[in-house]
This record gives sequence, C-alpha cells and structure tokens, in this order.
Amino acid sequence: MIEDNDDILNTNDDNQDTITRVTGMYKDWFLDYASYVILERAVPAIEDGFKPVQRRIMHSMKDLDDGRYNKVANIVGHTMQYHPHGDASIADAMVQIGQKDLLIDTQGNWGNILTGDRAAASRYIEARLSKFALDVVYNPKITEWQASYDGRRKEPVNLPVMFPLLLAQGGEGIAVGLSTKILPHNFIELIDASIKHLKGKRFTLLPDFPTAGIADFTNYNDGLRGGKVRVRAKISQLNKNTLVITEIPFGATTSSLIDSILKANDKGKIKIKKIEDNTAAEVEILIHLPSGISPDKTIDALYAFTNCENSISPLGCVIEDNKPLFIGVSEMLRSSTDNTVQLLKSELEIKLRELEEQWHFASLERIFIEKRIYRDIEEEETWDGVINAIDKGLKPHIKHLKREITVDDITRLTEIRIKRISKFDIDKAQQKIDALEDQIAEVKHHLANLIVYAIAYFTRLKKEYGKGRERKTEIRIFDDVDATKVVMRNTKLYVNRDEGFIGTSLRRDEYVCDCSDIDDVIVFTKEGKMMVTKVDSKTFVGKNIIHVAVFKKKDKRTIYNLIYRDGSRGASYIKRFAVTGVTRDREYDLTKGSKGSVVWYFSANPNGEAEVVTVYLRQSGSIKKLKWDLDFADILIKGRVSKGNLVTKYSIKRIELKEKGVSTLKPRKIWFDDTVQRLNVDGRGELVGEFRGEDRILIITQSGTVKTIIPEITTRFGDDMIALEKWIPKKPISAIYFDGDKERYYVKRFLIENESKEETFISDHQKSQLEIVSTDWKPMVEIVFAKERGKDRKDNLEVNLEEFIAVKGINALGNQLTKDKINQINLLEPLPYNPPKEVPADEIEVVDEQVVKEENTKSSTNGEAPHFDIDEEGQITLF
Amino acid sequence: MSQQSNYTEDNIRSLDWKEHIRMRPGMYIGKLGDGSSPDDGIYILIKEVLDNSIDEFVMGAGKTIEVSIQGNKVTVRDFGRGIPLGKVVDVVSKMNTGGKYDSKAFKKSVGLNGVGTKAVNALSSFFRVESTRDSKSASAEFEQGNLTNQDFLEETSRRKGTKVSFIPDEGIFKKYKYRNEYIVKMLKNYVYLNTGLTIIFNGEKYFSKNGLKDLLQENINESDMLYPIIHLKGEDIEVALTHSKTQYSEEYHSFVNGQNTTQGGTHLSAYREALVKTIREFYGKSYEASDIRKSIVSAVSIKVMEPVFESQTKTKLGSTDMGGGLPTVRTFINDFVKRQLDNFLHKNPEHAEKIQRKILQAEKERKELSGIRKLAKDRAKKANLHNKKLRDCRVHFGDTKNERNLETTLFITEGDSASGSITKSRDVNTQAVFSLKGKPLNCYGLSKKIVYENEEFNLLQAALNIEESLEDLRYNNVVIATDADVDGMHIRLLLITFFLQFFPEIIKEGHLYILQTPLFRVRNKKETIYCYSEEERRNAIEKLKPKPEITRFKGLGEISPDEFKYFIGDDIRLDPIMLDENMSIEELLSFYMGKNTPTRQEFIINNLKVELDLVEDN
Repeated sequence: MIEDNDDILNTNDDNQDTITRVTGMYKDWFLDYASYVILERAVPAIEDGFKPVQRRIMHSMKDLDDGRYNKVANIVGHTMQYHPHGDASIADAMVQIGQKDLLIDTQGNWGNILTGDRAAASRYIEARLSKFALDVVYNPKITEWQASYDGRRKEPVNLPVMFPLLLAQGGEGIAVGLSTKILPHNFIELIDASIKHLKGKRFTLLPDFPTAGIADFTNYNDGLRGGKVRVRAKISQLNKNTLVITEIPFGATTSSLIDSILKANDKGKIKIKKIEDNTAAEVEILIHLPSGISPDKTIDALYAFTNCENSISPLGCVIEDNKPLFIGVSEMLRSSTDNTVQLLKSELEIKLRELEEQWHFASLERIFIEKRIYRDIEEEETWDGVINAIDKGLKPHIKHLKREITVDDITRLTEIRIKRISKFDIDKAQQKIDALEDQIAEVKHHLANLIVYAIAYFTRLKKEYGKGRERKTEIRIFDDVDATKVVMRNTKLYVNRDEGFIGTSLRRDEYVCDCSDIDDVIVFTKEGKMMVTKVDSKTFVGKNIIHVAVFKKKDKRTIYNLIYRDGSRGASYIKRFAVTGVTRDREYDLTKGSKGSVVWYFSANPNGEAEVVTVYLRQSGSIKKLKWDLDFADILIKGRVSKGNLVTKYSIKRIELKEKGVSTLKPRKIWFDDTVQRLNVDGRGELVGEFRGEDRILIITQSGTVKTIIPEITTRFGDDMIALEKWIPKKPISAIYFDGDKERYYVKRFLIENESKEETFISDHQKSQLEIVSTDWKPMVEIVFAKERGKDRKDNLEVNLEEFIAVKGINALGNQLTKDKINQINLLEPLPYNPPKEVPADEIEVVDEQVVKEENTKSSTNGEAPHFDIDEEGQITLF
Repeated sequence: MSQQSNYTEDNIRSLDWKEHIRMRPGMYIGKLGDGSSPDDGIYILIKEVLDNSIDEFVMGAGKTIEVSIQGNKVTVRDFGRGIPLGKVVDVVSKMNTGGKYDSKAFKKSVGLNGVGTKAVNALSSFFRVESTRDSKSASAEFEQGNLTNQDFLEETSRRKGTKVSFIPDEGIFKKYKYRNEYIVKMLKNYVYLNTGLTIIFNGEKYFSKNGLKDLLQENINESDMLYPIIHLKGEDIEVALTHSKTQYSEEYHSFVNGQNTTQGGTHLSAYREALVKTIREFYGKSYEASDIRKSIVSAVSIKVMEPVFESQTKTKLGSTDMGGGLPTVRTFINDFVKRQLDNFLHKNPEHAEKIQRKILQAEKERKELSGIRKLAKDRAKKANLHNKKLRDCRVHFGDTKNERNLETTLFITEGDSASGSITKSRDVNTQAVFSLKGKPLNCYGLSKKIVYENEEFNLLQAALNIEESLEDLRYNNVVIATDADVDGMHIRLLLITFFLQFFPEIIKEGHLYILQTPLFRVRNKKETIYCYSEEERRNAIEKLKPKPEITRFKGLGEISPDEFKYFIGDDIRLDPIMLDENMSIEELLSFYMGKNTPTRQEFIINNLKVELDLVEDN
C-alpha cells in the first residue's frame, strides 16, 4: 500500500461547479433584462428615431406595400416575423404611430387622441404608408440589413429616415434604470430648424402638441433632464356662469380631464354645478358654475387642482452605438439633419454610379455597332476567340471611357439582338449618351453642393407636406396660481376655546369660519402665545383661545393690537404687529415669555385699523388717574417679538373698547403684468396705481364695453382690453366711435354711473366700432380727412374733445364729429390739467418683524405718543 | 477471502444488506439527487463517513480531519484511534457491526446503529478503508460493497487514524456532481458544533473558536444584528441568538448530537417555547409569542442520549427524553434557557431594552396588520378550500413518513406558456404547479401587508404554507420555472425579491431553485438533443451532422408536454439560489430593485449587454 495522502492536500480542483450566488444571478439577470429593455424595447434610436417595434412595423408595411390599404391585423402578423412578441403590443404600437398622423394613412376608427377613445380592433382597421413615409423613410439601397431573430429574414438595422422624425412624433419609454421622454415638435419648425442648421445658423426648438393647448416652455431646457414644461387647457368664460374648455393640455384626454375636475369637485377644491362634454371634431367641455362663484377664480382653481394644468418633465434619451445617450432636442435635430445629409450623399453616389454604368454601356454599344465590331467575330470559333476579337476591335475606340472594359461588358455586348443592330440610330444613341452625361453632371453638381441640395430637399418637404401642420400649441408664460387663494372653502372650522381645541370635526363647539383643508389656522391664547397650524379634524393648540382665524401667508395688512401684562405682577404693555412668516406648529410668545403673563386686550384688524380703548386701573394706594383712553393709532406697528410700549406699571382692572378704528395703512400699489395678463403687488409690469379699500380698476375693451372692478390678483383680463387704469369716478371717459347705422363718427364723454355693472357705450349695430377712447381729462384728437375725388384733401383738424362735447350719460349717442369723410383719427397729447388732489388717509408704515432695541419706559399716560424713526419698509402687500 | 468457501447462512445475509441498500437507498440516505441540493444522497455519504471521524474527535482523539474531493472521489482522513485492525472489513461491510454499541463514550453520537459506513460502501463504485494504529495498518477495498482487495502492513510510519475514500456509484447517483458550497456549509456546521476541531477541506482550513456564535455571525450580517449575539453554553446544550433588524421571520439552526436537524423536532419546539416563557417572565408582560420571536435568528444544539429521529435522514428529532437519568428534552431546555437567558438579560440591561423595543415594534406592526388580517383570513379560508393558482401533488414535505417527501417540488411557472405542459408531464405524487399570471409585483420596499393584499402572493404563501414559519413548508424544492428570455429573467428577479424580502429563510435553507430549460433543440431524423448552452449546441450540431434541425426555445410554451418530461424528470437541471456573504440582502435589493439611482444608471450603461446578429451581405 502506498501512502497517497497527498491527494487530500491537493487543492487545485476545478471539477466541481461553483454555484453562482444570488448576487451574481441578480447581476446577470438584471443586466440581461435592463440591457434588453433599454436597447430593444423602450428607447428609440438616434439614427431613425424608431424603437425596434416601430421600425419593424414600418419595415413590414413597406414589405406589404402595394398602394392599397392592408388590414392592421395582417401587418401585425407580418411584423411578428421580425418582432417575437405579443400581437397586442405590436397593434398598440402601430395605432400610436397612426394617431400621430404622419407616417400611416389610416382607414377606419383609429381612436381619438382628444377623447381617449380606443381604436377599433386590428381586424377592422386598415393602414397603408403615407406619401410622406414613402418619401422620407425608405431606400433599400442605402439600408443596412441584419438577420431577423430566427435568421429567416432580414430586417433593417436602421431605416434611412431623412427627417427629424423622432422630434416630430415625440417618444416616450420607461426602461430599467432610465427612461426617455421626448416631446413632439412642430413639423414646419423642425424643417426650418434643419435648414437653419444647414446654413450654420442658430435655432431653438419648442414642443408643439397635437392636442394644442397653452404651454409655458420657459424651463424647457432643450428637452434635457431637469427641464420642465407646463401645459394648460384653454379655458375661457362663455358667460357669467359658464366656462368652456376648448383645448386640452398634452397628456390629457377629455375623459381624464373631466374625471379630474369631478374629483376636485368631490374633494371640495372647486365648486361646479354641472360639466358637459360637447366634444366633436373640436374639444368643447362646458363647465356650469353655481351662481355666486367667481369664474376667474374657478379658472385658476382648475389650473391648480385639476389636470387642466400639467407639468411635464422631458428627458431626452436615445440609443446611439448601443449605448443610451442623454441629449437635448437641438442636438437630436443636428444629428438627424447631418444624418440626412449623409443619406442624401449616399443616395446621390449610388445614383451617380448607376448613371455612369449606363453611360459606359451605352457608349460601348454605340462603338460596337457603329464600328461594326460584331463583324469581327464571324470568323471566330471559340468563345474565348469571340471575346478576344471584340476586345481587340474595341481597343482603338475606348480611350474616352471612364473605366476598363471587363469580360462582363463584352458578354453583354454579345447579347445584343440583331434587330437592334439593324435598326440602330446613331443620333438617338448619341442623344441618349448626351442625356446621361447631363444627368451625371447634375448629380455631380449636387454632390459638390451637398448642403444646398439638402436645403432644397428640406424646402421641398416643407412645401409638399407642410400644409395644415402649423403650430397648434400657444406659447405663453404662466403666472403661478396660489392654491390657497383659489381653493373652495369646503369645510367649517370650529373652536373649543376653554379646552383649547380647534378643528373641523368639533361640530358641537363654536363655529369660526369656513376654510379649506389646505389652509393654515392662526391661534392666540390668553397666555399671549401664538401658533400657526394646518387645518385638521381636531388639534390641540393650548387652553383659553382668544382668537382663531385662517392664516394668510405673507399677510402684512392684518394687524394685531395687543395689551398684555408681563408676568403675574409685572407692568402692562401695548403693541401692534403683523404675523408674516412663521414655522408651522411652533409656539411663539407675544409677551416677554414670563410666567403668568396674560393678555388684557386683543384685536385682529384685517386692514390695520387702530381703535381707541379705555384703560381702567385697579384702585390701589395713591394712584390719581384710574381711567384714561389709549389710541392704538399712536402705536407703531412693529415686529411680533417687540416688547411694546409701557401702558402702566399698575394693576389693570379692565380695558374696554371705546371707539372703532380706521385703517392706518398705506394704500397698496398694484401693477399689471402684461406677459401673464395678471395684476400683482410685487412690482412686475406696469404700475396701475395705489389702491385703498374701495378703489376700483377701470377696464375698457375694444368692443366698447366698460366696467370697474375691485382689483384682485386672480382677475383675468380678456384679449381685447384696451385700457386698464385706476378708476377715478369723477374723471370722464372720452370716446369716438363709428356708428354702423348712421355710418358716421360720434364723440361722447361720460362718467360711469353703475360701478358694478359692465356697460356698452357704443351703439350696438353690427358695424359700429370703437375708434378712440381716452381717459384723459382734456384729450385732443387730430382728424385726417379722406381725399375726395376731384377735391383737395382737407387740412387736418385738431379737436379738443372737452370743448366739443359736455359730459353726458353713458347711454347718450353723442355728437357727430364731422360730416366729412374721415381717413384716420389720431389721439394727440392731452392738454395739461391738474386733477383735484386726493385726500390721503393717515399713512403709517408697517415695520415688519423688527426687534425693538430701544427701551421706552415713558408711560403713555403722559399723553405723548412714543416716537420711533420709521423704517423704510416699503410696500404693504395686498394679501 | 475465506468467506466464499464457507458458504453459510451468514453469507447470504451479508449479501442481502448490499442488495437491500442498493435497492432501497432512500431508507438509508434519503433521496438520491445529482448534487444540486444539499440534502442529496452524495452529501449524506460524506456525512456518514465524517460522522465516525467526528465521533473520534469527540472522544478526544485527533483534532484535525482532512477531507478532499477530487472529481467524484471523496477522501476523509482522521487522526483518531483507528479502527481495530482486525475488524476493518467487518465494520464497513457487516450489518449491525460497530464499536458504538457498548462504549458509553458513543452514547451521544448520531451514528449509532452502525449502518452509515455500510451504506456508503454499498452505494460506492469504489470504497477503500484504511486504518492505522500502533504503527500497523490495515486496508480493504470494495466495489459496490463487494470486497476486492485487502492489505495489511506490519510496519508503517503513518500517523494513527482512519482514512476512507469512496466514489459514489454512478449507477445509483445519476450524473451527480459535488458542489463545494454545500460541502463547505456542511463542514462549517461540524466545526461550529465541535469547537476545537479543524477540518481541512481541499487545503482550506475550517475552524471555529466560538461555536454557534460563529455560525450565527456567518448567517447574519453584522449591521443587521439588533444587538451582539447572546451565546450561552451548558452541559449538553449550546444556544446563540440575536434579533435581525430587517428580517421578518424567525430563523433557527438546530442540531442534535452534531446533526443538523433542518426540520427541527422536539428540541426546537421546546427551545422556542422556552424563549417565549423566559422573556415573558423577565419583562413581566404577557407579550404575544409571535411578537417575541419575530425576526429572531438563533441556533441551538443539544446532546441527547440515543436520539430517536423521525426518519433515517435524521432531520427531525423525535426523542422526548434526554436519557441517562436526565429530565425530558422539554424540561431540560426550558430550565437551561430560563436560568441562563434570564441571568444574561439581568446582567445586560441594554440587550434587554433592545429586545423589548423590538417586541413592542413587532406588536405595533402586528396590530397595524390586523385590519389586513381579516382579509387574510378570508383569503386563507378561500385558499384552504381551493387554491386556484395551485395544482397540488399528493406527497408533501411534512409527510416525514413518506420516503419521497424530499422529492416534493413546487414549480412556479410564468403564465400559461408553461403551466399546461408542466401539469401534463409532472409526477403528480411529488410535483405541484403554481402558475403566475403576468409579472408579479416588485415588492421591494413594501411592508408585509402586501403579502396579504396581493392575491397572487397570498396564494403563493398559502401554497407553501409559510405564513407563520418555515416549519410547515409543504415542498422541499421550490422551483422557479420561467422562460429563458429577458422577461423570464425579470420574473425571476421579482420572485426572488419576494422571497428575500419576506421569506429569506426559504433561500437560506436551500429550498429555492431555478429550473434550467434547454435553449436549443438539435435533431435529425434519428436523434434529438436538448442543449442548455451555446457550447452544448455546438457539440450537438457537430454530432448530428449533416444538417440537423435547430430550434431555439424562446419560451416554455414551445416545449411540448412529452418533451417536458425530460426536463423535470430524473435529469432535471436545477440551479440553487444561494445567498452571498459579501453583500447583505438589503444592499442587494435596494440596488437592483429599488429606486433609480445615478449609480445604478451608470452601472447599467457601463455593463450593457449587446447582442448583435450578423449582418448579412446579400
């Protein structure tokens, strides 16, 4: 026996399979799946813009193309020879291409992108390639081919698409680890951009959606990751109680839109009476509103709470060289255009080669017959002999040919029929050769001027297929809708003051106000604490609530007036403050925070009113004055944390309200922002004026209506508005209008009598139209007369409207301007006039959240209001 | 070889034992298998041989055991006392012969009845035993249990001990192949349970200093432990436990006399009971048992005198008594845990606090689930009546009396493409089919609620019967049978995610497999070959020249039922799913199944697999 222990120690043993651990399996499978989905399913190729299934559908359609319609089911079946997957997914992909209305000429019910209706079953509907598809998508000569999955057929690696198809149609796909979302663009704009690129100019591309709508592309970011596009439905006001949606945003259908509106209505975010879908060829959704609901606000609310506004995040990802590539739409367009140029070049080169080949043989044939070389072969007995004889016979005549003569050429010559030789027409042959030479020259010219050729190509595409493909989506810049301002107050807020609860479920307790579920609530307690919290069914905020209200963010106009005692025996202070920014659910001390502090007096003043109160002291010791009045108007508005001014060191018995106060705030300034067609208080756009509580805005439209409204930032303005300004009730409006009935120009001046009513001030004949309107005190106009035949043109006439006609009622017809024919009326600089001065109210600035550094110990009992320097804090906001 | 001339009744009986073992191997070594499963017969053979060496170690003889596997040849060498030289042949070939019948030292060993090595001998095409003691050596060689050679050395320089080599018989174990992973796992269990023992496997050393503590450390990621492992040791008992931060279910590793009782038994139920009792008494609160044990990861090992198992494979303990004048198994474990764990918790309040928090959290989660439970109950009732996704088989894993219980298999199939064929071609005794519809949900990051809410998962859970624990698992093998295409890969990922997330122990204990199906069929008029890889395909084409017909199987739907028989019959090819120590489950799942991350995107883009068909010239 031999000791063979060493085999035990033999370590390098490869016989056993090692088991792939689960991590390895995950890696393998995950990469298999991810690679497949990325490369073969979800992401389009940069070259032709197709995903594999789309490319295979297009290829199959070309296979089957005979100019007639084919059943979609048949095409799908044919596609399965290339695409080994379910038929349903292929049919869906095909319907999607068909609905884009570019490549497929459809027959039957292909569904409706507006309503979301599905297409009929694939056995019913039919399809053939559109002219455009046949024109730009195919050319087998310049297509690179690969074997199909089972090796039985060949399919294109990429189709030679000579158009930025991907950008025109858009594309979307969710793969593993990455996704792509390319928005559709406008056909004509794409061609224009391609041409610009060819000319070496810069271009920008913005999406255009087949569903039209309005879109804000400010953050489009060239379609790269991180970009954002906001799309909105086109909503307008049909009448006072009806809104109409005429265009839907991209990504929505009328059904989904209505569903989202109903959902918002159910949740109480908006309030509508009825919604109807009257969509036919065009979208029309009617939204009936209950009376008393502001249509303007509802439009905003629709944008804020329903799919009427959508945000789309584009993410350009395409496959290039079997790798996903994240690029922007401009890059895609450049790549596509460059690719098109290359394809055009190969096309031309192939054509050139063919022409040259034709020319070569035609020339040979001519020599062969003209020089009677066919006779040389009569003596020859062998095939080689024949070839040699012809070769020899041709030799002297072929110096001008472009290439050597091959045996194939000669073989072809031997196949010429006798009939052809006998009927040979030398002139005709030469003509043919000349024609070929012309064509060759032309192709060569194109090749030499490839860019020009490409531009001509794109121009032709635009001319042939651009009709009816104008931009549909309106480009706008949106203002932000503040959800809390337009939301419906759909629940009720209650408070249990003693126990310290607020909430929407405390139905047995004290009712506070209506609120919405996204509102915040501000609460003050007897201890001088304040808190802001979100509306909930029941929240504990602290015992002894003295004030509770819906909290408006950044509200500088609501001023809280407060008198408190510091600590259980301390002095009492008075302060006025606004609450603007606070952290939710955090307790703030309005007193100095000493234990036992208590609020003597509190009032919340939505417009910064300052009241007069009477302070009564408790009788003690030698105090002489036990009662005096205190005017809050004397107290500066400071920050929430300021200590306030000393009222008294002594113990207060009670404080009573003596006299209600008036607003102490500066009027607010309002601007009109033309880009978003909205009012604002943030200084954007043009200053309209300074407004106090009851001040109104005057709006005059081109259609001859006038109205005044209370300025609110939710107000929407129609497109035909021609004047918007602060309304001064005593200032007359001067207008010149053309009366359709009498066919004359009239002048009138009037004041607005019904401030809440919209009125028409021109006659309601169909042809009546407003010529000039002025809100100046003393407007001047210049009349340019028409030149009448045979007469000299009358000199221009200047008219002072104030002198021309007195201020009359709004319904007055006015005075006829002139009997002569008028060519044009121009508004001139008004005459100077000093309007009566407005009497301003007390102006007090709000000092926001300013910490008081200076100790003021002077008691207001002295009758002197403490004085601080007013900090230039600027604008007090509207809300 | 004098036996042949002495033709007596005894001889007839000794022929009998070989024949009997070879005829009914299942009685001795459980199932046969090809080595793809850790409980396949070929591993049991190693165990049987190794057990004897371990017993030597336990006796204090030989601190090292060397194991090597060269191809199919297994060699086990110990440095124990060696088999008495005169009895070398008898011990391995005579039934009911052994040294453990009268020696008290062997009382707490597993191999008592002296069957093990004989079974190995009978089932090996080559078997060699060599014993060395007192500088003398004896050896014997067998073939299928028949003695072919015998040798005796009067003088040798070899160290004392026994060396056994064998090659499992290919006639019995068809196309088998040893998997190192399983062997390593088995050997590790040995060193955990026998602290101080070194096993050298193919040159690699395995050694454990801390026994069961090391075992747990191996099984659970350090970062996943709620608290450091509690390790308690006593006479005849050793316990280690911790709670997992992420795992939902309980996980136990139980051993009796060094034997891994994968199906538990009396000792495990006693241990679980003891845990609950001790913890309840420690905190003075009657927590729900399931809350206490939720997420527990624990190992328990006891030594029982003359243990009784519920089957020859010894995976479930049946003994109720410890033997040797000791109390019952239950009382013994209970007393130990009560005293030791209680003491430990008193001494380590931070452990106690963490455990309590875990229990409270479990309680909270359970109550959250209670709303769902009603739905679950309804569903369970319905599934009990009839599980509409399941076509069941007759035998189940829990039927320990049935010798085929280890063969029980559940095929989880993808949609209609395969379930029909598998149903038609299956062995209804042991093979069940569960068919999924479409892709299952990606349950990464979801709570266990989803197992109740999602009908498919719920029915799968019901089919496997693993809601409470793995104890009542109904199938030994759970096989995912998806198409070999990319969507099939995706379904595998999703299903394994489901198991990893909610039932990782089904993978840890090696019940989950992937069914390999052929990618190609190559055939000519005479022969058909199914190929599982590109290489096999090339070989087959070469073999069936000229012009074989090649079909590529894209989905299981393309395989007809009569073909399927081959793929799920004796020649079934299974890839076991095994965890990896390098990466925790959480990391794995969050990377592959979690949200898109830039890292993952980069990983995909850098590792894209591109498959290009050749571009034809014409």
